Amino acid sequence: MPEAESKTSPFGRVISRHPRLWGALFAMLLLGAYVYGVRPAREWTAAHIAAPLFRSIGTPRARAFTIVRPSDYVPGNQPEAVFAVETGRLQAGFAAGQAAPDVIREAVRAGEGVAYWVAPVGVLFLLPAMFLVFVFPTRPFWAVLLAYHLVVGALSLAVFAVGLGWFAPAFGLYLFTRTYLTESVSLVVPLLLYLAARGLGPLAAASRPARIP
Amino acid sequence: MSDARSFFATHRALSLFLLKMAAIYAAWFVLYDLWLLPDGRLDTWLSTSVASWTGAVLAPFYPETIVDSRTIWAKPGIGILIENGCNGLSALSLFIGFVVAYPGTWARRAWFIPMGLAAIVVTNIVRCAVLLVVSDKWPQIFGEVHALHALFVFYLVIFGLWVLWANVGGSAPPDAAPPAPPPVPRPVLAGA
Repeated sequence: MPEAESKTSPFGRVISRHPRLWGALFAMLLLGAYVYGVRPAREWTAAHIAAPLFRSIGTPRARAFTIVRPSDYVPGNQPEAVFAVETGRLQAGFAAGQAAPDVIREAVRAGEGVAYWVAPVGVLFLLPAMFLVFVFPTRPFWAVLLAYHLVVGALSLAVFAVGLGWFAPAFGLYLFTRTYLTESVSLVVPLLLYLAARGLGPLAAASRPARIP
Repeated sequence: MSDARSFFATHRALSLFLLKMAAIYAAWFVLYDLWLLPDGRLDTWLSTSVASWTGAVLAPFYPETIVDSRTIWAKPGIGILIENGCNGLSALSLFIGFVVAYPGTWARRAWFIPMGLAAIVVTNIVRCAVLLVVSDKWPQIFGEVHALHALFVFYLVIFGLWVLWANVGGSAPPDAAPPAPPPVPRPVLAGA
């Protein structure tokens, strides 16, 4: 057996012939899977899990909001998002002859009377996942990243529901999960794996064999 | 319970790094949301500075360039407004949070952080200049470029800076196995 075929890295077997080409091919496949699989799944999650969940919250605080999806009015308009708009603001907009998406847009621009939940596993997953597939074509690190994003997404759903139904500051916590937490996961997970593959960083120690005195 | 304890013992450096990073981002988030955003001066300064520097970069190519506070006009009708979310402040804080949390020496952080901040600000200036050119030459794709280009460029630069910091931070890899003890001479048995 030629030596090249039995090459291994700290992360297992590597492709010895044209690894970059295979990496690019797998990254393109992931892009396709994202466009035709993950994106519709995000829209489905927003429509069939998040929106019904938020509408089912029956507390007095939640009743002050109307749960709206702009894509219910204009097909294709932010289908992965669910908005909680203050009912008074929405009705005033309707009375003034505005459509729901316009009321939402103005509320978002003004930064008041509206909060919105966005389905997880967006572009901030796709780009680092493509990087991981490109660099480690034989390892399912993209799936590890996906798992982290799903956990953050579930957390964000719970936090948003708490903000909507019971505790306004939870909206702030939701914003934190959507921004810094998601960004950190998207960048730190690939970074630590990348460094560990080169014997650097906190994960490298875990992947080294224990030294026996 | 003992499994969790054993995991944290094995991954002490990793856990410490993640906890420190989460704490830094949480502290920054609270500081920004409660004080800096309502105050507005930091955002205004950064936005107007980026606008001014972008204007200086564009001026040789667009002689009619005008900078009006946060707005840059490359020519009449072709302009962009740098809002709070577009001034790069969150990217700057993302970068600093990692460098402070990740193992390294403070002497190296003292020069690496300003260098990284400068790199991110320059990236934002180039991004704004590119957006103005796109707005002038290919206005039909401005929305897509604005949404994706910023994301891609910012995260690529931050990722590169983080990799650089992991290499030049000046600290041994955390949890590195301690150096092997010097070999102990084997006792020679008399009469053997």
